[in-house]
Amino acid sequence: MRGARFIDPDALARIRNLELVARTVVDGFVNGLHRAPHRGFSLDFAEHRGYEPGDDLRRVDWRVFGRTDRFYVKQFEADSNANLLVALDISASMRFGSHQVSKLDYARSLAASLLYFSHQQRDRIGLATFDRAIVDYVPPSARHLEYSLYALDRIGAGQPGALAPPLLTLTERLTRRGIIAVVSDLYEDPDAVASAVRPLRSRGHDVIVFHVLDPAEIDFPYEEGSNFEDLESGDRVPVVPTGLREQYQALVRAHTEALTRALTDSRISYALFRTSVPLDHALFHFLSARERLSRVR
Amino acid sequence: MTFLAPALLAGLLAVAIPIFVHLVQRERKTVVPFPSLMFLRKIPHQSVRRRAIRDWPLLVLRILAVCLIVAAFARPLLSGTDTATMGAVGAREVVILIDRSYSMGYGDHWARARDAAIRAVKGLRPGDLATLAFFSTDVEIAARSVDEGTGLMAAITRATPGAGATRLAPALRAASGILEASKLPRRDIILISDFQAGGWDRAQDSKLPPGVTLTPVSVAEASTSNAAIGTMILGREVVPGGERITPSVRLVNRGTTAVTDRQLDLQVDGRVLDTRRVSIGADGSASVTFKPFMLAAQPARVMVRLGPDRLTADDVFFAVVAVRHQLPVLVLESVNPALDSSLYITRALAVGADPGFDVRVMRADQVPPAAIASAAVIVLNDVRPPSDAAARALEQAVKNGAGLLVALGERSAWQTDDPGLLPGSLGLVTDRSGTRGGTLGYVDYSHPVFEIFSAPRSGDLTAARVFKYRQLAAPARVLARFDDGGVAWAERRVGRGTVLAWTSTFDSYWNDLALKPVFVPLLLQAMKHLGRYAEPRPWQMVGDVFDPAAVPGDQAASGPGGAMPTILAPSGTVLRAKTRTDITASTLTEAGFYQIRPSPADAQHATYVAVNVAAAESDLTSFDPAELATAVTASGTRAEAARCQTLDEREHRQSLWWYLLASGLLLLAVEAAVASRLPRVLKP
Repeated sequence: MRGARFIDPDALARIRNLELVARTVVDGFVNGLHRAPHRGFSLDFAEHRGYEPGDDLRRVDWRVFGRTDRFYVKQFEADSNANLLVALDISASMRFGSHQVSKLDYARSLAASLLYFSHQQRDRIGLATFDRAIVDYVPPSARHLEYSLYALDRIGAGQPGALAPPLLTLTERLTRRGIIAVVSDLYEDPDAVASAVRPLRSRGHDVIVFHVLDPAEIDFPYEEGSNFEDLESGDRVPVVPTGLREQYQALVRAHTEALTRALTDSRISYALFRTSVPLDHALFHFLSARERLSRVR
Repeated sequence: MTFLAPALLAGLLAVAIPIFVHLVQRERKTVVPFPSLMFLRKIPHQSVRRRAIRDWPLLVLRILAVCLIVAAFARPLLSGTDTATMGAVGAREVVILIDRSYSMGYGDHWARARDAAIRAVKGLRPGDLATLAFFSTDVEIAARSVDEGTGLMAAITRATPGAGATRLAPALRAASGILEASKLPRRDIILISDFQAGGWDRAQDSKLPPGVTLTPVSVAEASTSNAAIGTMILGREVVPGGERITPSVRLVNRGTTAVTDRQLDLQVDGRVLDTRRVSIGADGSASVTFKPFMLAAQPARVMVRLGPDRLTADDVFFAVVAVRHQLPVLVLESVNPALDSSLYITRALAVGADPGFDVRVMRADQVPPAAIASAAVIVLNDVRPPSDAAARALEQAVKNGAGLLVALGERSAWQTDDPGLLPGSLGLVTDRSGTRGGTLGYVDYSHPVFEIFSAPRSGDLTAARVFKYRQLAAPARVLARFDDGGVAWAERRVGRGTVLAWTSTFDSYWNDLALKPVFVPLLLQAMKHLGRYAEPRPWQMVGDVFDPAAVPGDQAASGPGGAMPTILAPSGTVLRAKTRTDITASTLTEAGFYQIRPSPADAQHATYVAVNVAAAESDLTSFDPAELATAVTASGTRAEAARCQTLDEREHRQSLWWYLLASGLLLLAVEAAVASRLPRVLKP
């Protein structure tokens, strides 16, 4: 990350154009790497296999045929563009923000950046927004960047969210393996989260879970006794924060640790992001995870 | 500390408001949107709902502000004892002076005074000593330096207003005397009175000792209404068969409202003789004359009663009217008197009306001893004194109290065997007829005979010319001298009697005194003095010392066989006298008819003395006790703070509510400033 240009999320929030946001993030990130942007995505030769009827004759390695007099077909490491689908949680709880950037704003910028970055990699990109069900769905395609950004841009008021139903729907819809980036605040039991995400992994998708939380949700810096209102259910609980801050922080910490454990056990990449952290970190994590996943595969 | 509106202290319950706000209301009104309550709900419920007071300074400010404002509306005031003891420490000696003059019987004055006294007693602390004194015309110490309040309470409860008049100065002097003897560090006087303007004689020195504080507690009302009988006038007219008395009274309305259609009764010896209906304008007066009645030989008890109002003590007036007695005067002449020797004397005494004179003129050599003994005044008019039995009778009469007037002329001769009654040694005749005669050059105007001439234009004793007079050597007491230094008038006391000598004559030969205007009053005055005449007083006043002369005839002053009489006060209290001095030293403390019986059971021969309350006391106009506090204390500042008459006035003067309210509002302002600066972390 040396030389990377980190952009304050608050500054990004002032940019209304999501594509510009994504470009700003990605270009800055890429320029800061001082490395080829195609690392891991090169058309490097992978292996030969025997020609089978139906194979395209253009993929026959004629040099091998000249030496061995047999037909082999060349296979490359990245012989095809990957599918990237960003599953974005737009439930009501994502609208919380203790500073200028709400979780939804941050997640939207994050999704746009991921989509833009992948589009630059010539991947097929798609977007699914959900709360308790799929709200908007842009199927992965190499030409769906604009649609996806448009879908991100017109995200409306969310409903109380649930992770399992929409992800199950995505599992059924996505027939081609790809990368699924789930962006959510994950206000569910860690086992329930893992159970909801695990079907995607079982279908061969590479799943990266971006856990987006506001700093106030982690640190609970409130001082004055107040009624805390659940943004999704509307329930209220009188709370004297000073008396329970430590308990709350311990619960959040236990929750994230449980999520990490449950998802990692399912070979699902997990990362916790504070909305105060620059998006570059998220992209870095995304690339790291993708590289790791590609090696594993 | 007391409150005029203690019910408003219930507003202190409002203290719960800021506490409620701090504990509950603020939490409920502040709503913090939060993504999920998933974690909060996992925290034990009691921890979540636990309410704790934060911002203690803010809470204290609010509670204090509420308390001050509520206290301001309750109108606090410092009581008299509070102000008196404010800032002082240590035990104290308290003198509680309670005015028990009859004006304290007005309305609820006495009840309020009693309450104030009880409050003062309750304000005593362990170690304090208290003296309870009631005062009016005189001062009565009910309890002296006691340290327990039970007896004081009982004495206060038993006490009732008397018939005396308010006299503040003696009461303060008595209190000062008590406090001066006290060794306690704090010395206070609590003066409970209606503070009538007439009760404080500013000319009297009533300075309190240094360190003594005076706390006036006034029970006076701002507006009063009182009608009273000011005085009575007894018109006397001698008619055939006796004396006709026409009583009239002067009514005074000292209130600001008119008195209308009040009944006025005249009672004589217990019988109602006349009844009138009277109306008196506000702050006005009226006179009512009753129909006359004939006076019998016995004295008559006259009582006039006005329909009662809020002060009843001054609505009745008493008098005892007795037949006037003439003063017997015996004039002794020589064998061959001058033609007008006693002419001027008899004529002058004939015009005397108060008293009248029963004048008898006799020859000195023929006067019987009985005539001398029966005379109140014997006049030796240019004659030598009687001899033998008459001489002894004269001497005895003088020693018994009769008066002797000696006019010294050319016929006067005082032999050595004559009674030694002459106030000096008789000498030769001084003849100043060659000149224009002599005049009086020195007169002792302090003497009762000449006192009436002391005022300017009241008679010129020096107008008379004296051409001859007898010299009088070694006089006992010279009352007047001629301009040449010769003795003109001299006096001598003999036993209970008095001998008065005029060194000239009462005719027109040796002087022209009898022709001057001053002669008649001079002679009448001399007769009154010699005859020890005291004008009968139809009534005496409360606070006066019993005057036997007020008893008609004085014969009742001693019972049969010299036994001391029994005196019954109007209330029925029996005053038994062991000696005559006891009688004359008795102070009249009640209004009404004092009954003097020769013996305890002899009511038939009882004589009466009428006693009335002081009319000035019926004027309920009060003065500012601050003046008194300032005048009698070295520093009237502390008394100044507690001087207010009524609770309302004291509260108004102290105005503590204003300071409390201002402080409360100031605290609210501070609270607002502090609250606005406190961090309100609803969002981090």
